[in-house]
Amino acid sequence: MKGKRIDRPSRRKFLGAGAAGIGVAITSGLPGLLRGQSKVYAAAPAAKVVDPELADFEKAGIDWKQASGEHITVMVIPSLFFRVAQEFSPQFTKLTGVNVTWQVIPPVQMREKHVLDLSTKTGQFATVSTDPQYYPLYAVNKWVDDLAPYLDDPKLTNKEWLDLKDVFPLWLEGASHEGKLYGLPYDGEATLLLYRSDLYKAKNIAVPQTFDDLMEAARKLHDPANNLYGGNFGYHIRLINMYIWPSVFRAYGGEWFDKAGNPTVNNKQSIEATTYYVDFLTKYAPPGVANWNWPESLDAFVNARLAQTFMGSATVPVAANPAKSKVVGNFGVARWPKGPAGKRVTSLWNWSFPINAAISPKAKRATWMFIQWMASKPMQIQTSYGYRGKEESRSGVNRMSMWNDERYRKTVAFAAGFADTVLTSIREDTDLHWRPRVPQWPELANILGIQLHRALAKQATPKEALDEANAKIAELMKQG
Amino acid sequence: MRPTEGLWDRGGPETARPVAQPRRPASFLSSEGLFAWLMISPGLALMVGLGTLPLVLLVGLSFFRINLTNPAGNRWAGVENYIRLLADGQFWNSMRVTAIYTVSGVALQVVIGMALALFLFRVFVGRNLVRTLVILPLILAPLVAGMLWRTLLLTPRFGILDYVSYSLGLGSHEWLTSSRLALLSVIVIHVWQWTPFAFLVFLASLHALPVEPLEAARLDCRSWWQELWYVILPLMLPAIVIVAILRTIAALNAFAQIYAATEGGPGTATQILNLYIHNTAFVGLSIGYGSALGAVQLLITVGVALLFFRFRMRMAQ
Repeated sequence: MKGKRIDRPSRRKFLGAGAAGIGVAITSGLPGLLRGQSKVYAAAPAAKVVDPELADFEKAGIDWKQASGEHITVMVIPSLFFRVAQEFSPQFTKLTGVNVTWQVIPPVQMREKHVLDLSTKTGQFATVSTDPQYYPLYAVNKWVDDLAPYLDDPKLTNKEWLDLKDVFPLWLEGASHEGKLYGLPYDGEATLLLYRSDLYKAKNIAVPQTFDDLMEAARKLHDPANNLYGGNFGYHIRLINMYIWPSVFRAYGGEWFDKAGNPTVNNKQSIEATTYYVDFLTKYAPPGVANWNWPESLDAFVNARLAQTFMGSATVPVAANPAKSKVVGNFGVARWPKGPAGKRVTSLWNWSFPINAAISPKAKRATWMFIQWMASKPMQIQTSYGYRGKEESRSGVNRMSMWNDERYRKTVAFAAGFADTVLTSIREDTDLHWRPRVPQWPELANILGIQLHRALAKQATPKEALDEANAKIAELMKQG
Repeated sequence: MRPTEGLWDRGGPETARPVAQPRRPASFLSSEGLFAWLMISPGLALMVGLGTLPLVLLVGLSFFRINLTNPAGNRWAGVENYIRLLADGQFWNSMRVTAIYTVSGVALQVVIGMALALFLFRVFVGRNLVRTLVILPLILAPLVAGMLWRTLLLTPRFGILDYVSYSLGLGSHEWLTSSRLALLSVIVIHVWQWTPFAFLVFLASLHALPVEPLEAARLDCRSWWQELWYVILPLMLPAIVIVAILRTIAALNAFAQIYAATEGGPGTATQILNLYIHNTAFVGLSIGYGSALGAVQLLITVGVALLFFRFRMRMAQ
């Protein structure tokens, strides 16, 4: 007897259904899902009248919407200043019609991803927050665009409105290579001496003006039995040594290369600088400091375990925040002391944005709009003193005029004289050759960072460590 | 065997059997083979694309001079990178550190894992709770484990273990920044996290052991040690070898834990080969030389795995 036919799933039907499912998924937005975007801001319909929120940007008189409909991905480090910028991302989309996806990744991993993206020319990231040291590498490889054509095109830029003369000149130089500008800075900092003003006062110590003063202050304040350590140079875990040590090296008169281009990191000044660096940390820094990155150093200072340390000015708001710090009202900031060479040397540090050379022309225009928007004065204002008040305020705007503007100075009054100290440090103590400006920088820093760490761990004397570093750098430069 | 016997011969009555015909080769498109290939091809493509091809590419790149900091000098280099590593002090240092880290780490995991399994195999009150506690480190990501030890446990004067050491009069130590202690510390972290894996395998094996030899051993052996040495351990040998294989491969490829704890420092004291490769290729951007180092790492891992498997096969025979 024939029963009712049961329509069993056959292999053919199974494969057919699978293929249909894949097709539906592909056409219904799987690509968007696979992009793994953290935040996508959809373009708003074009406004017919000028939105008051956009009025300051519309003054540029350029067609902000010329790349409308484009979608760009931007990678930045986790930080207050970029978090605030992200909050204004819908405004950028409203202004330009360009959608932005932000990816927030710690600096080391961010640089690795950036180099990978640039070198493979995948064009995943339209722009990435970039520190000055990487421009020679990116420029030599032609991974990023020279910004001159963008700046010189009146359809793309109103130079007067953008007013790059108001941006710290050395920050622009830091984003340049062989005279060509490759990035526009958004935020930056100077490394400063953070000291416990209450302890200085109690021991009648003046703010150190020289490296000898600094060592003497550390000696007087060092009291490990009461869990107070005389001082620290900031961050020292392996390669991170290369954030602070170059300031000591340059203040001692150290030069990276001689006139013939041979490395000179093991010369007399360098050995003296490193001996001072190691002595200071060995005698007066907390045990285990060789494994510290900046969070540990900041944590020790705000928990009153350090009498003095060197930190980037961007970390000072934390020390002034009563919710996070035990030293509020009891600390001061100062410029770097003078080294034996008679100069103070602070870091050349800022985050700027280049244009990825591998993306499409329309995406490049969209990225240029984004970079301009980030670097522009209206954006700098709305993310600093125009924002929510002191605790949430940025402390590293790129405009010199703003550092002299009382409205901004009030929001960054984290310590007595903070704005003046930062401004003077950036103007007078910033050293373009704080780090060597060569494409080989990543490997050069790698070599030196490891050797300095060996000296700190007493695996080698400063001379032995620097001799080895110099030999390796010479080999590196010879290879090209 | 009758000539018609085979796949299609279901053994029906002689009369019903069709006349034997020479078997025509079935069209590939209609065969089961096609369906089988269709089914496995996505997985196979993924495996080849994500596993095999990158390794082939790695070996290929190792014969080039590719340095992203100076692309003008990129060229075919033949075995230049391999000659360079023979004279590279950091390479030999990382080989030494890798050998110490792997051999001591795996040995400790096997010994401690076995001891724990034998102890917790016995029935006692609270056994399940203790078993649960023992396997807890396994659920942490290696990066988290490294951070945990670096910050909460080993920070001089503040870390829990350092505080205990200090309180017991053994002094406070720079566990991760002293060249004397750093390697020992990262081995301890590794053993702490991965011994539970060995423990779980050994415990499962103990439960699966045949009862008869164990009962006979209990009657024949003079002591528990004899029972362990002459009966239990030989029976457990396949499990021990499997744990040794898997943990050796994992130790050779360790990265995140050491990276989080010391970044390979102080200096190069804890820089195993894997960290040196990462540093060379992704920090120093020397892709060609980094690939050569990676190819050596691949060779070592495959070589060690083959040795173990050969040993295991010989054991099985």
